[in-house]
This record gives sequence, C-alpha cells and structure tokens, in this order.
Amino acid sequence: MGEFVGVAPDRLEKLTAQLKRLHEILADRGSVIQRKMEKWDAQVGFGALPRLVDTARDDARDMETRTERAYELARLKGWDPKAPVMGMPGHVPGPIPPPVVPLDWKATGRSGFQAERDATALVTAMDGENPEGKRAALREAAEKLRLHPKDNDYLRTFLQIAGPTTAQAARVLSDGDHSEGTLFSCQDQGVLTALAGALAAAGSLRTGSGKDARPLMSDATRAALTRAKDPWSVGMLLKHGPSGKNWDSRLLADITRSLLDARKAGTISFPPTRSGNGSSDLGGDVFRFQKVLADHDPVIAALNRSAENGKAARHVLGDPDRGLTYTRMLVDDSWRTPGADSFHRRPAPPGGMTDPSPKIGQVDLSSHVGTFLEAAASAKRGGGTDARESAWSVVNIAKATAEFSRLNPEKVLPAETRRALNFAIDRYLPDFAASARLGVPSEAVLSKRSANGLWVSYFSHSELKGLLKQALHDEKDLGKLLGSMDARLSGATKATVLDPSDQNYLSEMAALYGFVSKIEADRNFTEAEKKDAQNKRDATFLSMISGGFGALNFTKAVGPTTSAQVFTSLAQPPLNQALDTDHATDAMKSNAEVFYDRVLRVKIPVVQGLINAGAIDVERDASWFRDGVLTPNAEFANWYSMNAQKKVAGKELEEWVRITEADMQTQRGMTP
Amino acid sequence: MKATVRLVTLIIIFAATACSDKPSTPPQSEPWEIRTRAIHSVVECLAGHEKIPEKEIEGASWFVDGRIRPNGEFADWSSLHAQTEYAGKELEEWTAEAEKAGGSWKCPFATP
Repeated sequence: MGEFVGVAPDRLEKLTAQLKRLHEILADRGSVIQRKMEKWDAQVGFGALPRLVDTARDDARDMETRTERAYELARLKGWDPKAPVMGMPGHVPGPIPPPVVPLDWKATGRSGFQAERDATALVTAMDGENPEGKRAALREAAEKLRLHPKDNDYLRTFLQIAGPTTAQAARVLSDGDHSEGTLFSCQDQGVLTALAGALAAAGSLRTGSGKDARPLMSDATRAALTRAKDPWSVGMLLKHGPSGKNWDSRLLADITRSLLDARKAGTISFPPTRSGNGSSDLGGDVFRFQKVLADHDPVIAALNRSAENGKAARHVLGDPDRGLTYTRMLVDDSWRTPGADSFHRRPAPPGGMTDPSPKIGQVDLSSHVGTFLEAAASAKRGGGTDARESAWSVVNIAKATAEFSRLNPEKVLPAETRRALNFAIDRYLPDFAASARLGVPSEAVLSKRSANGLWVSYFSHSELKGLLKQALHDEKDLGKLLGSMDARLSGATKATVLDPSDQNYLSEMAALYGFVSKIEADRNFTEAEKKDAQNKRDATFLSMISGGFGALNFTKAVGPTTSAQVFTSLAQPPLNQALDTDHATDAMKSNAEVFYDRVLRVKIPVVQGLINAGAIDVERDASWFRDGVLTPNAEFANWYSMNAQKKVAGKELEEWVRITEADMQTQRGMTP
Repeated sequence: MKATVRLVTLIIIFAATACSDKPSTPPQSEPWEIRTRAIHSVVECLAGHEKIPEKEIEGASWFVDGRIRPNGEFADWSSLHAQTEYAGKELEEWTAEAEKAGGSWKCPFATP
C-alpha cells in the first residue's frame, strides 16, 4: 500500500532546486571548508562529510523524481501549464498554479520506481524517429545513471528495460554534431562512459544468493552486446567504458569473439561520414581519417579491454575447441586500417588506372594484437582453470603461427606480433625445451609434476619450428633468446641436480638449442646480422646472470612435490626486471676476450648451475667467483682442469658439461 | 656419323631419364625426428618386455596395443622419466644409444 501525501508540484520544484544547490555547495566547497577548519584547529569531525554529500545528492535526485511525477499527476487532473493567462479583478495576471495532487511519497523515492521511469523514457525516445530526441534521451539517461552510483536496484531495473537499447547508443550519438572535429563530443563520450559503466557493473554483479544467484544483467541485454546487430556501437561502449578489469571476463570474452567474427564476416560498418571515401566531415585529410578509423576500431577496443582484463583474453584463445579459430584471426598480417586508394589524392592518368595503387594512410594496429596475445599467455602457472587457458593459448598461438608460416612462406608477421611470440616462448621456455626433446601433437595437459597440478604445453616439432621461424625472424630476437637460454643453462643444471623427479632439464634445454640453431642456419643471416645477434646474446646473458637469474629461489623448498615449482621457475624472469642490455654490452666491450669465453662455452653456465645447486663448494679466495657470479679467468681454467674428473652430484663434472655440449653439437652438426 | 647419332640418342635418353626419373634421395631426417623415433622405439621395447613397472603403463593413454600413441601425456611421462633407470640404464641412456644407431637399433630383449 502506498503512502500518499498531498503535494503542490510547484512548491516541490522549489524544494528540489534548494536541495540541488545544497548538494552542489557541499560537493564543491566541502573539502575547502574542511581544510580551512583543520588549519584553524577546529575540533569538528569531518569524517561524515563524504556521506553527507552523497545523501544530499540522493535527496535532490529523489525530490526531482517526485516533482516530475507530481507535475504528471497534475496534468492528468486536467491542469494545463500553457492555459491562457487569467486575470481576476484585483489580482496580477499569471499562469494557473498546478493543483495539489496525491503523491506516493515512498514509492517515488525508490530506486526501482525511478529506474523504470528513466529507462522507459529512454526506450520511448530511442524507438522514435527523432534523432535529436534520441541523443537528448541518451544524455538524460546517462545523467540519471550517474546519480545512482552503486545502486544495484536501479541498475537492474534500468538495464532490464533499457539494456538492449544501450547497445545502439554509439551510432545514434555519432550521427550528431561533429563541430568539435571528433566523432563524439566530449559530452557524448561521457554518455558512453556512463552507459558502459552501468553495463560493466551489471555484468560482474550477481543478484540473489546460493542457488538463486544469477547475473544482474538480463539475458536480453547480454545478447544485445554479444550478438549485436551493430557491433561497432558495442565496441565504442568498450572504448569509452571502464578498464577491462572492471568487466566480467566471460562477458568481455563473448563480446570480443563476436567482434572478431564480425570483422571476419565484414559486417562491421563505420558510421557514414559526409565527405565520402577517404576523408570525412571531421576535417583533415585521408591520413587524419585513417587515424579516426584506427581510434574507433571496435575490435581493437575489445582486444584492449580483454587484454587489460587478462582472463578474458585467455577465455578467447585458451578454449581447446574454439580458441584456435580466434588465434588464427589474430596471428595474421592484416591488422591495419583499410587506407585510401591513392587516386583520391592523385588524378588518374589518361586512360584510367593501370596498376592497382598501394593504399595510403594505413595505420598499423598490430601492437594491440601483440598486447592481447601476451595477455593470453600471462596467467600464473599452476593447475587451475586460468593456468589451463593460458597453456592452451600458447598452444594455439604456436599452431596458428606455424599455419601462417606454412601458408605464407615468404611473409613475416608484424614486429609487434613477433614481440608477443617471443614473450610466450620466454614464459613457457621449459615447455618448449621439453617439446624439443620429444615432439607430440600440440596440446596442453595437466602434468604429473605436482600433486596440485601444473598445466604444461607440449608442441609438435613442425609447430615448434613454424613458431620459432616467425619469432626469430629478427637477428636481435634470435640473439636475445639464445642469451636467455645461455643464462638458463645454469638454472637447468641446478634443477637437474635438485629436482627429485627424474627430469633432465639440461638435455631438454640443449634440444631447444638444436631447434634454434636450425632456424638460425635456415635464415642465412649476413655476417653483420650474425654479429648483432651475438652481441644481443652476450648482452642478454650477462644481464640475466648478473641480474640474479642464477639465484633461482627453489633451493630450500625442494621435496617430493616441488618439481612443478622447479619446472616453472626456469621461466621466471630474472630478479633484475629491467634487462639493461645496453649496460651489459658496455661491460662486455671493456673485457671482450674474457666475455666471449664466458658466453661461448657451455661449461661456465653449467658450473654456475652446479655451484648454485650447492653441488660444488668454491674456495673462499677463488678469484673467479665473486658475489655469486662466475667470472672466468686463467685461474678458473686451471680449477676446471684439476676438477674435471671429480664426481659432482652423481656425475663427473666433465660429464655434466658434455651432456649439454654433445647435444648442442649434434644438433648443430646436422644443420647445413 | 652413326656413332655420333647413337651418342646423341644416348645422351637424350639419359637426360630424359634424369628428368623424369630423378633419383629421390630420402629427405635427411632432422635430429629431433631421429630422437623422437628413438624414444618411441625404446619405450615400446622396454614396455613390451615388462621392463617398465606395470603401474606406469597401465591405463596410459599413450600406450595402446604395444605401440606408442604420442600425445601430451606421453611427452610429460617421458620428460619426467628421462633419468629413471629401466633394465639397468636410464631412459635417456637407452634413447641416446638408439639415437646413435639410427634405424638399425634393435630391442635387445627376447620376446617373452
């Protein structure tokens, strides 16, 4: 039963205005007043101030709803605000005041009531034919949403009614005034931000509890976003909406998939611009227009938000059934804006165009793709769902890259995509090493390395080769990988000594060297490129070793269940996160001869690994071992020859070195 | 003259033979292919002669009817058992032996 009170709409309107003013003053000046009072040592508590500001906002908002409702009721009673002005003898003529009306005070203050009114107003306008009316309604709705922060009742009801409508907002707004030289005015960007904020909140909130718990977002709204008639508009909500971390990962993944599908099907349409192909009414030339296209690419917006979210990227690529389809779309060289035909700038020669002209003004979008791929391979290693999706993402990335290499033997993926490939290789280096030793059809499996589970990616040799071929196209990337493998030989040696399982990390690492050597041989680098690669290798090795990589932190924890920990620790970044390779190169130049000895021979990292594993005790005054790092000199050579036959951790020292050297040389010997 | 004609004919025949019947040298196997084959042979041999404990093979998705069916679980098992001793040698030593022998490696155990 409602709580009806008689109100005069015009007096309610005045009250509303005063409440709004109160809120404005509190919000604007509150902090200044607080600071001043504190400066004067006033013993007044201001802890409640933020809450007071919020209450004032809510009161003003509720009163405004009541005022609007009161006027509606007055009109229903026959009151006409535009009725002719009446003059009574002895009275100043003026409009007829609205009558007192019975208003349900409690209901009009409730979120659900307000949401229903606001959403219905938006839907009615959006269903209409008046473009300006639609835009005004969207702006009004965004304003109302901003007045209901963290109000789940409001959100639920609002989106229940107007949710699907919000999916079209961007196109409606983009059709407006472009006098600011942008597709959306600042105000309209704010509208999209408010709508997307509401959708993101509704997507990640649950309503009800226990068995009755369900997403706050209705199925219809979800469908409007994930099976959108206008994918471009949905992408613009993502672009202007909150960070990917604020979205539900499943929702974001579904939207990303739908946008990638739409891109492939060619069903994304950019809003028409008035100057036709090549340029627009936004001002500027074709180059500027291509920039606008790039900035408003809905697929890129989805990729960015999913990458920020992390899990969303892994849902998309790490699905064993569907992931490969989407990975193929990303591991591709087509990520750029369409560009304009050059005859738009140059008049066609007599007789028409002969050769198809190259496109002009294209903007490269592959950095966004690279970041997304990296996010897909970034979950913490372990036995959970996220780790599984990450491991499958890496498998799918390898498959898609190998496929690209096979179908396009002459093509090279964009540098930013290759950066992501190298990131994935580095993060899953132990997996790649194990696969180099024994190739199987590529897949991720729950390894028996740990009772808690560890998802490991395994790769077929052809896919491993196809991946490396693209990833190591640049000689510097090749050098970097080799350098980081050199540094990890220490870790691999240590792991082989300490890991209670029977895994031989050293021989797996050596097998990976074989693969990389083969790629190197196939690439036929010039001498200069080889030198660059070698420099990068040296620099990476030195900075990783001196950055504390040798000090893998699993020593104390080794036990029957720790082989998973050992395995993944081989892919951990060095403690020195900022690999300062330039600095390392300087160090190398100052002592080149010693340095080459250090890098080119396997025994240094192997001995380093054995020391790290505690299998070798170094004499305190040894000149070749300082601060935990082995620095080869004549005395080291002497020490090595004296101890070569000494048994260390179950094998002769020389044998440890031989395992690696032999395997590496076998591989190199087979290459042309 | 006749001899010249015969010679030319012979050359043409040879040339034609060379074109149509190019001697196909078997493509040289990559080292990792040789190693993969070696690991398959060794594990089939050891498992087939009960040199690998029953509990390690039982129900394994990768060992069906005495043959290796390569999959991720096989790679995982193989990686974790490289230094496990079977019939007096580590799996890795068996593999290295088979790898070195190439295609001529024979399982040293008599059929049970």
